[in-house]
Amino acid sequence: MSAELTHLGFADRAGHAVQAVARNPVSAAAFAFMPALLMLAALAPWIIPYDPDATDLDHVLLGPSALHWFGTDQVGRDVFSRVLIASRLDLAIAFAAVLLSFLGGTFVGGAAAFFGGTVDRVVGRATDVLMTFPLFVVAMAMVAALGNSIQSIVLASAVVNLPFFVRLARSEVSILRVQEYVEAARAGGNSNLQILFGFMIPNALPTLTVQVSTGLGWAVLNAASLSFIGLGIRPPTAEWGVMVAEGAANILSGYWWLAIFPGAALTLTVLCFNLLGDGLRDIIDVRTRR
Amino acid sequence: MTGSMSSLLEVDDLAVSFDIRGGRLTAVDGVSLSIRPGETLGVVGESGSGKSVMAYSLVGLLADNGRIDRGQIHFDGRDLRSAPDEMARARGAGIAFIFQNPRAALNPIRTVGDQVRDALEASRRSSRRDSSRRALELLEQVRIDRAKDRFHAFPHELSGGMCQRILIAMALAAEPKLLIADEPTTGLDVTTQKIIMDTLYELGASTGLATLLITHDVGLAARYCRRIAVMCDGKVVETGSTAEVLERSRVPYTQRLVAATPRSGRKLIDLLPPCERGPFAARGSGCGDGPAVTEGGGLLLNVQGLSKSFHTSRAVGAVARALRRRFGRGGGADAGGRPSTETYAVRDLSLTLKRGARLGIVGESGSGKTTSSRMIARLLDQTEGSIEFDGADIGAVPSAAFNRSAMRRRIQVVFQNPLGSLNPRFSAYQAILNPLRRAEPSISRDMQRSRVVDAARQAGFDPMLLSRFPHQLSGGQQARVGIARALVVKPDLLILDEPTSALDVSIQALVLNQLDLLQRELNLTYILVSHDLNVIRLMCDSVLVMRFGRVVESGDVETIFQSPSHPYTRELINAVPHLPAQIVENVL
Repeated sequence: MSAELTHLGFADRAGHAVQAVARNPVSAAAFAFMPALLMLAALAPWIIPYDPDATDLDHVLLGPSALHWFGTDQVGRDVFSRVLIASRLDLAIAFAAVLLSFLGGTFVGGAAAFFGGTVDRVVGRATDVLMTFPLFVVAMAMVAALGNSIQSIVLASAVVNLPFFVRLARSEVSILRVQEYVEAARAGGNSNLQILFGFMIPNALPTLTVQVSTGLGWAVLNAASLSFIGLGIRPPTAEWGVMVAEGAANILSGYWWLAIFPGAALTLTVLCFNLLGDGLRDIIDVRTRR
Repeated sequence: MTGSMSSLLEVDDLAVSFDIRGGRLTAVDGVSLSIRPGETLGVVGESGSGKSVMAYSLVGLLADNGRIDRGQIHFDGRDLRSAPDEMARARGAGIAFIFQNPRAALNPIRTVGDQVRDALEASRRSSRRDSSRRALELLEQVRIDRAKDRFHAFPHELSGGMCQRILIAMALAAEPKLLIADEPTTGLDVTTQKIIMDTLYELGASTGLATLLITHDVGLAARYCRRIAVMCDGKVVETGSTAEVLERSRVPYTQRLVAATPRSGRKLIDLLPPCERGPFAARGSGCGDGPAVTEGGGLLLNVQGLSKSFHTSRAVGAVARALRRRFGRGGGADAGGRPSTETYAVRDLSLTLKRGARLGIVGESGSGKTTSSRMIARLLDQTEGSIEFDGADIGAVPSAAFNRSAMRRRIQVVFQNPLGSLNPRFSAYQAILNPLRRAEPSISRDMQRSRVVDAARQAGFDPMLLSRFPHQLSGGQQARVGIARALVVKPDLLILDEPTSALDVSIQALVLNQLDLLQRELNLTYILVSHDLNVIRLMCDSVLVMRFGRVVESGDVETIFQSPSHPYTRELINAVPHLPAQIVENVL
């Protein structure tokens, strides 16, 4: 009976997903907000009312109004337009970084669990060593060494996310390794790589998806944090971390909108990815628990 | 007050349903039954018949989404549905429950003695002071050897059978009048099963404890129950004395269930109801009666001195040696008194197989039968010994290399767990196609398609279902996909690893007949690995009996069944609860 329930059809899974999300209104909100966020980022160039980089020295440091929803900054740039345009850059960095760490981590972790022995020991110790450092410090060091560019931020974010994917893929594959269908695949003449890519990783994907979502949240925060402390993306590029850093200097002078709006966008995005991850985990848990 | 005074438990028109997405599912639909004090009532049925749900609902152990829709439950003069706490009270005092997986029901970090004491103290039958003494008595009552030592053992230090006896002792702590045993021996070895069931039977006789035995095994129910209720689709289709139900039933479902249960003196074809014999009966007179005629088949497989040992760390090795000394199991690993760190899973296995032969390997868990079959299938490397297959020394090829060699397709395996052996992300078509693509990568798509469809047909799998995924297929269909996957590459030797142990008996009957038909049509050679002697007897010409990694006896199936020479074989045959040819009133 339980065996039947652990392998539900797509319709059942979709039903479970709807139920699991409906039970938790917070993750339901995240599921609803995520497409809106992605849409806004995609369509930002057509939505924004002003050129995000155009200065207007006649209208500097204006508070939020009907004309400038989020106000203007010290050189008269429209904060709303800048926040929207920045979402493209921050999300792009996050997606690229997580894609890299997902692909690399899944392959390395999967191979470690699958082949065991020396491969596993080397991968395991390397992951442990990487995780002994405060991960943000590792990212800082990497960007400082590689130079201030978007590529180095992507790479740094990918590296700090990597150990999580390695560990997760490793544990998933070591569970799948003892499944009877893997032995059956061996008896059917499949090579090790064919088994790894055809039988194990596809079955580990649901769990890895959860990590992807949580990892995206981390990567957005990581990119913004690096820019905030002056590494990676530099002004005048519109980027949330840069904007918060610039605005923070003015907050005591009463120009609160400079830091609050990009900060809120950042918080909302990270929160959304994390809640999405929680929601996905609920869905997957339901599948395995019942 | 309803219910006759003579019955201990009286269930009348009980219905239970569950809230599921998209409506309610009725699991139990109008069940009525009664148990008298000291009686053992067997409730038999196949999976999904509602037998377990029925038992759980009696004591209020339904899942959150389940509820009793209607019906009366009277236990020992009390109406259990009259007040919300009546069931909880009955559960604490009058009705005890034991479950299928005994180890999971015990707390792993407390000694079993303490857990029995907890049960005693919870039931307020003993004060703290004399609970130890009483707990020890209970352990002795359930026939635990050296109960004083075992009192301080943790669950993981005891065997599964021993754990189940501890649970029975805990159940007895509250001095119940009724014990509900839900598949109490499923997953345990037959010899262990016999000890557990004998213990329960003796308890019934000596203390007047009534038992509700829920089981899928008609043979087990026939051996230990005076009365049997047969359940199907949430209904009791028949209740009566064991002999009446099993010998003279007029209910088609019961007839089918009883017929499908292997018993001595019956042929393979007899397992099926007459309406389903069609495709299998056409194969002529030779069906299922004794050894298949093998027309001077040449030697296909020659295995000599096959052993598998595992290196263990010194500490583990020392424990293993101590255990061997203690239980007198001759591992032989410490010959000459030299400390050895090797543990043998299989020791010195030799066998030869002619083309078309049907060999059975039987043994209990840990006997090495699965390890042996994996080595012959080249999924596992042997430590010593040679395997010669059709003249080629395949034992010399490491398993990793063998899997990619041209010989791979010639030895195929049908795995134990029909669902677990299929990749959840492959459709039936992809599952069957996969080994064909690996064995013959160059054949055309059309050819692939026709080979897959042919293999599906041979295995009795409807080609219309090929696009389905494993979870969309029934257990029997999944098993057939597993068989088709092995057949598609046209193997010479098939290794069947408990191919039907996860299936209901009626499905088992179909699958076994299908395998038998295939064997004859394709002149297949197979090795059937099973714990079930009845299945071996129906399916094989010769048999190897294994224990602790060694072959204790081998030979012609009928000879071994009629006159086993090794005491272990005798014990094994006695322990199997097969239906006797004729059922006599008052079993045991």
